[in-house]
Amino acid sequence: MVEMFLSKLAFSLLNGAVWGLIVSLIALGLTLIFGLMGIINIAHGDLYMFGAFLSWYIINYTGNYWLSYLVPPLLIGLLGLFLEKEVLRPFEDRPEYTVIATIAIGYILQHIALAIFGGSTQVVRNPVPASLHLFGIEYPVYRLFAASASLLLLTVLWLILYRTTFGLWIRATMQDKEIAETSGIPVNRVCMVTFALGCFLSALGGSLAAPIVQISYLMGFDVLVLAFIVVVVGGLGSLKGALVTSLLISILENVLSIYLTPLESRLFSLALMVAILVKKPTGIFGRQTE
Amino acid sequence: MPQSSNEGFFFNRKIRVLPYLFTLALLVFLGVIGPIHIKTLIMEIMIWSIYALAFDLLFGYTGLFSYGQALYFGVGAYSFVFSLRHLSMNFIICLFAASFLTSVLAALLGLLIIKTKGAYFVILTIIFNVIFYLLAMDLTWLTGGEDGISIEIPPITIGKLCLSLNNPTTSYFFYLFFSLATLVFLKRIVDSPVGRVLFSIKVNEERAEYIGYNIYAYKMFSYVMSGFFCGLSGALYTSWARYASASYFSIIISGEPIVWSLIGGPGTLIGPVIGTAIIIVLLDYLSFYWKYYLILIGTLMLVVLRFSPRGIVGFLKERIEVKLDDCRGPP
Repeated sequence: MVEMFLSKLAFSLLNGAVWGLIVSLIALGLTLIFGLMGIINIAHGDLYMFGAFLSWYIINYTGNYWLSYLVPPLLIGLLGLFLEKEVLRPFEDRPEYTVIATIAIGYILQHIALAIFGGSTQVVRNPVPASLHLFGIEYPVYRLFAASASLLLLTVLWLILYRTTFGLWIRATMQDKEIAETSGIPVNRVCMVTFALGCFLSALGGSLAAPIVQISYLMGFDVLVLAFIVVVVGGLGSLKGALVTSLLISILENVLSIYLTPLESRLFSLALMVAILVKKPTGIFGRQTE
Repeated sequence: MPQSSNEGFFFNRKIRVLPYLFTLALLVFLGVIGPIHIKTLIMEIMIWSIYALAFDLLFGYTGLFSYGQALYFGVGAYSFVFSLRHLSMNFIICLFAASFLTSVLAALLGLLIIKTKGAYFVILTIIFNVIFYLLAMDLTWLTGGEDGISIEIPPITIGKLCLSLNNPTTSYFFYLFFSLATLVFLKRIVDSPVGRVLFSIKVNEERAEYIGYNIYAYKMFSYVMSGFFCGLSGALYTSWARYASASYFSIIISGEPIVWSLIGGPGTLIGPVIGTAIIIVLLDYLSFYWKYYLILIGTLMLVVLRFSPRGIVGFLKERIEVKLDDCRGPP
């Protein structure tokens, strides 16, 4: 009995950590975009959905798994460049209008996906069908791969943000756009590339998650809600907060779902989020201003 | 902008009222002799336009952007179902009971939501909407989940008059009455001093606060009022469809009034009604031929947002005002 519980616990802890790392990729994109441009990207979940769908499509038609991790994020990243420059720029820093615009983008993406890929739920074959003996349970290797890929990406992202000139530009623009502009930082280009980076991360999250989840054209919203919880609890614009909370929330949800349905555990984490927000409206790691 | 410009063409109240009277006459005319499918379409537009109006009070006049009004739509629908089932009173009382309950809930959630600003406000409204959606999906014994609950609406008799929603003409005028009443009532509110304060909050919250208004109370008023009318539209929709399901709480329903009022013109009251009519008629024909209509809606939203963020009505008003300035010549 105890052994059974322990193995279940280990399994859900691992699952939570894996899923948390993938979600943190998505939430990081969301929080970067918000922190820099004041855009609440409702279409973020749909970009994730598009990433997953594209990688399903590529696997089906070429059978090449590496391609399925490379092509979708790049395509979606390019789309992000276009979206920021041509569609969203006039609305930046007016949250309401960015919400409307990104709702529209989300609608378009959803029905394009429906038109191209169809309405039925798709499943990607597990690329690494092996499983590993870990903490007394058999754990699928692919999930560990997805987790380590996300971890690697997070590290790269951290290096970009804190060790390169471009990262410095991003952080400077986040703090004060006008002063950044006057000190010679190409703010517009920084915004464009950062938005594309956010889209890239989201699509990559989709590609990594594709073999774990069921793919449908409406899958984006669930992830968007999770990313919102993470971003709001962690504090909008805080990167550390996004990483820590996404791990915590998804581990919590997974452990809870030993006893509850996934729906109820999501409800629990939502209620927890509301409680935290009532206590501290800027989130745990949120900046004190505003 | 909500204020009627007190000059030129628009100063003449009689001329301003004419198009409304004409539309009303047309609606009554269609109600009497219109074919049944046109009536059904118009009824649908009338019910949804109450919902759009409720959203417009919140966004167009107070500047509170809620992406979660489906929460109150769904609560209104279900409180109507439950009050019809358990109160055993006539359905008009049930309608008001449902709307009242919804506004009480709006007041309670408002305590948590109203304090937040900007992005946090938007996200909190989404989160509360999702909470209620998940609850409705989870508590299938209460809500019927995705399959929903069907209801029967018993006719009521007042003297010799029998009001039964099974009669298409009667129900047409029933919904016409409610949508007109909502329009007139909200018009009165936004033209009153309270409406001015709400609008000042939208334009500049900080200044409104410095002048000495309790903006928290005014925002709360707007939020609760909007909740009331969302609840009313949910209850009316249930009485029209004879059915309520957990999908009433879905985020798609929350997105609808945003589309409608954006296209019609937020902050004009009549704009959202026009937007609702346009989109519902469009979808009625379009979705039959083309399954992927959201691509078109999304593109339309982006175009309107880019070129005329005040929607169709705002665009027309601007044009007419410019023309009037031309006629008047240099000052």
